Order: sequence, then structure tokens, then C-alpha cells
Amino acid sequence: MNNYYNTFYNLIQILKKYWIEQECIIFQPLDLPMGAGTFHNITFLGTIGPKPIKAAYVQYCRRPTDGRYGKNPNRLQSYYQFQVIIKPPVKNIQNMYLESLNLLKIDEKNNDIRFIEDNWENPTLGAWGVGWEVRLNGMEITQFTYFQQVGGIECNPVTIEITYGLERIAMHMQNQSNVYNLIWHSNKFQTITYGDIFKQNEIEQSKYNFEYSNIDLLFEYFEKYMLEANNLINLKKPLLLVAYEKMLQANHIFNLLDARKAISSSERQNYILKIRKLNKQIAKKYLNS
Amino acid sequence: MKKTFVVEIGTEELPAKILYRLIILFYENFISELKLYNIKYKKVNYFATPRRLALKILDIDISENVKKILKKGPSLKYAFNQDGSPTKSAHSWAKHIGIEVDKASYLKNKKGEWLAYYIKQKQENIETLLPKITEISLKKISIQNLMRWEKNNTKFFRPIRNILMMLDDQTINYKMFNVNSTNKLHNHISYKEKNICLNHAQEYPFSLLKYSYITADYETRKKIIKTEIKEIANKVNGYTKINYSLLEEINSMVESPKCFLATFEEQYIEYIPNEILIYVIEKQQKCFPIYNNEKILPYFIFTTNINSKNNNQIILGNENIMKAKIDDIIFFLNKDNKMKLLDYLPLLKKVLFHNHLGTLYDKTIRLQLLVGLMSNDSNKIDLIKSATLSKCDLITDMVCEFPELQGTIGMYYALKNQEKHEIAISIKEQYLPSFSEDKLPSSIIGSVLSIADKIDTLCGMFLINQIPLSNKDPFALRRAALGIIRIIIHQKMSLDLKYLIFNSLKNYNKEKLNYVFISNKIIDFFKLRLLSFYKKKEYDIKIIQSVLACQLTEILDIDMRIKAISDFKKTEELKSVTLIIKRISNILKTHKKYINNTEINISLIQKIEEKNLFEEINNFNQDTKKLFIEKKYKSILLRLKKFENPINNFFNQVQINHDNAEIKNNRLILLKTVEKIFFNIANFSFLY
Repeated sequence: MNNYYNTFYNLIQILKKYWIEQECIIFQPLDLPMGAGTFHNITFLGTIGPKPIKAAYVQYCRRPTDGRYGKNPNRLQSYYQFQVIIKPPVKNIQNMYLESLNLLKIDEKNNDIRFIEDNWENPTLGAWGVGWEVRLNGMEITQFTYFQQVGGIECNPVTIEITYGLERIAMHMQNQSNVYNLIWHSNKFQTITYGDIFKQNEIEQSKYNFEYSNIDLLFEYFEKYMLEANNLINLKKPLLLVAYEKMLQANHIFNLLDARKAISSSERQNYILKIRKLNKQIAKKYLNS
Repeated sequence: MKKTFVVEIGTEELPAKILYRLIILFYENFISELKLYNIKYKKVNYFATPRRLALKILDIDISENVKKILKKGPSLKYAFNQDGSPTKSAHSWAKHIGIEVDKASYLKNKKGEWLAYYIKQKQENIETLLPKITEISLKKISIQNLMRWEKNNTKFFRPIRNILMMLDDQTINYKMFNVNSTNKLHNHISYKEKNICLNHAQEYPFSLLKYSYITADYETRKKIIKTEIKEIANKVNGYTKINYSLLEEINSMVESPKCFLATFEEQYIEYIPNEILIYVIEKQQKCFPIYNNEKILPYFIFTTNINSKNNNQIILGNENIMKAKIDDIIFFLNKDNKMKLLDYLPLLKKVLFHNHLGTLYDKTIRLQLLVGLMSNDSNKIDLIKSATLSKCDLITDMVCEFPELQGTIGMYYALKNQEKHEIAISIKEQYLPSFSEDKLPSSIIGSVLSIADKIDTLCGMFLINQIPLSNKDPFALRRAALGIIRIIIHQKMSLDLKYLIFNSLKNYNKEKLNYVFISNKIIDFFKLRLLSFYKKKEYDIKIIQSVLACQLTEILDIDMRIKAISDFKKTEELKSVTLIIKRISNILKTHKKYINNTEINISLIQKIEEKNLFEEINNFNQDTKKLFIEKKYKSILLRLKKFENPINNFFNQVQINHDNAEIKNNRLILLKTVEKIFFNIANFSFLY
């Protein structure tokens, strides 16, 4: 039972419990591929408009170009984020965050915790914010952002977003320099590591992302998802939530194409603009609905 | 009475890159506000850390809280009649402010003189004024990128969480940015729970150091870091090359600096080119590399922001992340090295250079043509090869991941593929200079490639009318033109711009375009750049204009003329030479309409002075033929002096107006020919 506290899974439990105590509603991950927790509809739609929100959830994220065939100790094509959003932001949000680290036995007295400028921008979401990456002894563990604009709409009031990189934090807690050696969960019968669960997946997905994906098929998928999304937005009574999901699909396909370098640099811009346009429409209609 | 005022704005971490500018602007704004309110003080000290901006004003004179307000009256011209009595408007102005006209004083400045009167007005208490001044000074900081962070949407560079304001031992209460001021200091992030209260303004910034190890003074902190990294490097028998901007950045990221030595595996040094390692260490991880004999050692120095008892864990963490970053580099290098640099060439067909200007492959072909034109027999093959390889690295994984390494990666891959050293270097140097003070390509091949690349972009953008507007220059065309100018002058290349531009435009194969029109536009663009280039170098603007007015298109030629005339000016000879030409031009101007034909007719020469001048013209042409070819403008300018006597004699002894129109015309043509000689060097009319 010694290891129980320090498992990856318990890290999630601790954060959930803490943010529940800070009056956040806990949501479940969205069951679609996405590059960051920000894409979850709870965040995207939650930031739009004046309605206050306090929410948190874990989100599995996929970044095809970050695949390293399971060989890099801390870079993965898929990983877990723990995301917190609060609107309007509370005054002591920085301390609140540090307290959550304290619960993970990461204290600011013995570790070098730094907030380093890293303004966030997501061109496909038509969103940007001002913020920091939080570095723990030189390693980026969290992105801390005050959203200024989302879906092309000025955030009023702004939303604060805290995104924990769970693997990185676990590596620190478990004193590991390799992500695959992390203990995912341990009990008296069994201990299972992060590598046991994900290493083969990293290898296979990397091969797919960089070598075996069917580019023609991807292009076709992209167009079809975009078309579907557009149709749903333009219905007399638009199905915005569904349209948003189709956009997520298209966005992921775009990332896959990007990993294959199948899109030239200026075409790339066109693709981004197409997705952004869609998101703006969704955001606008959502705000007015 | 003299008092000390201190204000500290406690924030969430301010961006390192603007911290110094922020505090300086706050400081300057504050000083000018103090001046405005006529508040006397001894000194203002400023303090800046990532979490605070602070000012301390020493010895504020709080006795005089009287403000002088200037009331400006009518200008003296309209204030008094010819007999010295005040005018109506002077009277009505005086009445308006409630004085007699003779009580008024005068205000004199560049624009003129006015009646003036200073009204003394009692102003608000210093305790009320100082917070107002603070608020205005903060709000007036003019840098882009303000943010909002709370419901009422106040704006600043980062959220303001704490404000301390004290005048001696008195806390000044004020509310700004939705925060109430207190005598409580903003603490270090690792002492967030502890309150430090000031008892007196003078305790700032010492309390910060005493209780939380914060060095609030920007310069002091920088010195601490500098000293520490030197000592650490010494310990491992190495040295650091202090990258100044990196030091500033790191200094702006910490308030309790402490430097540490960390290591990475030695084998990386063999495997990864030094420049790339330095990039990871400096740019990505904000650390200092250590050198020994120009070679990088397997160490790096990082700076923490904490006074910790658990340094081992911090070092380990930093080493782990450095290892992961370097591992990533190795991943990319291995992936890229499956192909030769040249094999990437066909892949460039997929990458657009610009929507209307083709792909990077098309650009490569154009560059091949251009460098071919600029080459000589000995370097033609190498130049074409370097143009061929020049853009190949843009599609490698390394450059896609680290765009700043474009060129550098190409160079290393070329070397790895056993390309000639000069070719490899030129791939890196094509991007130089990348900013106005940047270094220039060291090699000829690099210089030629750089010019070709820049002129191709410039011509392309002008072709599709993407011309820089006042403050917008998205394709950095001004920088490109300036780069071309600097390279040509540095390498002393005799390149004709017109020829280069014409060929570059032609390479785009566009039909139905007015090439002359576009070409002239580009040349005018270059002229403006030349003007500002020499102006910045503090050459006399009249001299620059005099040369630019000559419609020259060879930059080196322009350069030599401007320098020669500037040198000539120092000898004071320029004055007498310009006097000659001034006299001639004035005469010609008044007789403009009588001049027809351009040839001098020898048989119409009447007087000995005319003949002498004619001979002097011939002599000059003889003497300077070679000098012009060699562009020895200094000698040519000196040679001009010989015109002085013949011209003076001509003017003294020869009447331009002669009954015979032909003779008159011939005399004018004689002068016109001299003028041409002068104007062939520079348009002297700018110089007199």
C-alpha cells in the first residue's frame, strides 16, 4: 500500500477532490479525439457569454506530430490533461493552484516553481489568452491562461483556465525521468505502469501518424466532416453541439494530415481559416441562442 | 519637510521580455507627472521583479503645495500699440485673469513671444496627489498587449493583486485597478502565505531581502547572477560567453536568484552540432552553456528563483528536462538524416512560397538563375549548387520544429553530405543580415545567395503589389533592401541594381506587366532605404541627396561618391568648388531659353578666356577618364578645382550676351558642358 498515494491514478483523484472543494463541477472527458482539454465543449462553450462557470475534468489529448515511437522520455502523441476553468476568475487563483500542488506534495519552498510568459493561442478555435507555462524545476507542468477571446468573441468576463500536464507532474512525484516507468496504479495483487498501458499504443500510433495513414482518405474525411458540420449549423434549428463534434473530428484529421506534411504551408493557413470560420459561427449562434 | 514615498505594484508574473521597459516607463511617467505638479524631490529609485514594479521617491519636499499655472496672453506683436501702450486685447486678457497688464511677464520660446502670467494655485495635499500620480503613470505606460483579468475588465500587463503605498510611516489608502492599497508587501511566490508589513517607506526594499530573500533592484540582481555564473564556470575550468539579452531575460524572470551547475551526457556533444545544443540550452531552457577553448562542455548553468534546502531535486529536475529536450533533437536528427539534403528538393514543390509567387521549388529555380547571373566563372558551379540546396532544410523535421534554426540546419546537413564547406556556410548565411544591426555573410557565395534570395522576394512582392505601407511591412522588405545594401557595400560588389531587378522580375515569367514601371518603383524603394541608411550613419543629408539625384543604380558607386564628397567636405575645398557650379547654374537658369544644341562650336569661340575654359574641359575629360572607371571620386573632386581660374576669368572677361545669337548660344553651351561635368559626379545644387 506504500505506493498507493503516489500513483498516476491517485493524482487524478487528488485533483478532482481538491477542485470539488473549490466548488467546481466535475465533468467527464469528451469521447472524441482532440489536441487539448480546451477543445472540450464544456470549456469552449462555457467561456462564451456572461454565465459564470466553475468546472474541471480530465481529458485525453492527441497530438499526432508529437509522436516519438515511445522513445522520448516525456513526449507523447497522446496524454492526459486535467483542466480547470473558472469564470469570472477568483482573486487568489494563483495561490489556489499552488495549494493543489501542495496536496501533491509539490511545495514551493523546496522546488523552483515559476510562471513564465506563454501566451496561448489556438488559431482553429479563434481563441487567445494571456498567461504562463508553469515550470517545476525547469519542466513545464501546467498552462495557466486568462482567455481574452474565444470563437472570435471577446470573453466578457474572462475565463481562467488551468491545464495540468498529468504525466509531467506524476514524473516529478514518483521521481521518474521516464514517463513509461510511472506507476499507473498499484494494489497488493498488481502494479501496472504507464508503459504497460500506453507504450505499444505510442509505437503504433506514431507509425500510423507518420507513415501509414491513408492521406487520400484523410482528405476525404476532412471535407465530409466539414460539410456535415456546415449543414448542421445552417439548419433552421441548428444542432450546434453536434456540429461542434464534427468540427472536432475534422480538426483531428487536419492534425493527422499535418503530421504527414501533406498540407503545404499556405494551404495549411486555409485549412485553419476554414475550421476557425466554422467555430466562429458556432460560437456566435450559441451566444445568441 | 522632506518625506519618502514608496509605491509597490504587486502582480502575477510579468513577462520577462517587457519587464525592464515597463519599469522604465513607469519611472519616466512618474517623474514627468511630478514635474507637472511642481513637486520637488531628491531622487527616484526604481525596482522591478517579475512580481513587482516599485518606485521610491526620496526627500519629497511637501512644504510647498502650490501649483503654478501658466496663463498665456496675446503675442507681443498684438499686445502693444506702436507707442508702447497696451492694446485692447492685452487689456481684456489681463482683465480676464484679474491683473493689470504691467503685472504680466513675458514668455519667450522658439515660436515667438507672448504676454504671460503665472497664477499660484494651492493644490491638493501630497498624500492625495501621489496616488493619483501613480495611477496616471501606470495607465500611461504605452506598450501593446494589455489584458483583462476580472469582471470589471480593468486592464494592465498582468493581474494586479497587491498595492503598497507609504509616505514615510503613513500608509496611503487609495483604490486603483480595483485593489485597495495597504502597507503590506507583495511576497515571493514561495512565501505567499506570509505577510510583510512596512513600518516606514524607507524600509523598502530592505525588508524584501531580509524576510524573503528578494533582490528588488534590477541592476543589483543582474550583477549577482553574472558573478555567480562566472564562479560556477570557473569551477569546472570553463567560461561563459554572456549572451546579453539572455541575461536580461533571466534577470527579469527571477527575484531571488541562485545559480546552479548541472550536467548533460558528454556523448551529446559529439552527436549534436554545438549551435543546436546552444539553441536548446539558451533559447529553450534559458540556461547558460559553458565553454572551454570555444568548445561547449557537458554542463549548463541554470538560475532558480528560490532559496531552497532541497537543491538536489531542483538540479535533477533541470537535468531531466534538458535530457528530454536533447533526446527530442536526436529524434529529429535521426529522422532527417534518412535522406540527403538534396533529396528534399522535389518535396519543396509542395510548399508554397506565396500564393501568387509559386512554391519554394519555384523560388529555388529562380535563385539558380539569379546567382548564375551574379557569378563569375570560378564560382558559378558552387553558387548554383548552394542555390539548389538553399531551401531544402525548410522541410526537414528539425526546421519544422525549430523554425529559428533555418539555414543552420541546412548547413549541418550539407556538411554531413560532404558538400563543400563554402556551400554549406552559404546556406546558413543566406538569411544574414536578419535584422538591422545583424552580422553580414562572411563569404562571397553566402553574400550572393543572400542578395539573390532577398531581391527575389522583393521583386515578387512588388509584382503582386504587396508593397510596405507606412508602418506595415509584413514581408520585411525594408529589412531585405537594407540587407542587400549593406552586403554590397561590405563586399564591394559592383552590381547594377537595375540589371538585377530586371532579371529577377523576368524570372517570374509574368505576362502583361509593366516591367519598367515596377522596376522604377523598386529602385525608388531602394533610394529611400539608401537615404535612411546614410542618414543613420550621420552623413550629411544634402550630400546623400546630391548623389541619389544622379539616377545611379549601382549601390557601390553611390556609396563611393557619398563617402568621397563627405571626405572632401572635411577639407573645406567643397565650398569653393560648389561656388563655381553655383555661379554657372544661376547663369544657365536665367538663359535657359536661349540654349539650343549641345555641341560646342570651336569656330565660334572668340576670346582667350573662352578658349581656356574649352581647353580645361578637354583636359579634365582626358585626366579623369581613368579615374571615373576606377571610381576615384576623391581625385576627381580635387581635379574640379582646376576649373576655378578659367571659370572666374570667363565670368570676368566674357559677356554672355552677344549680338550674335550663335556666339551667345555657344558660350552658354560651354557653361552647360561644365555643369554637366559637375552634375555627372553629384547634383551639386543640393550642396549650395
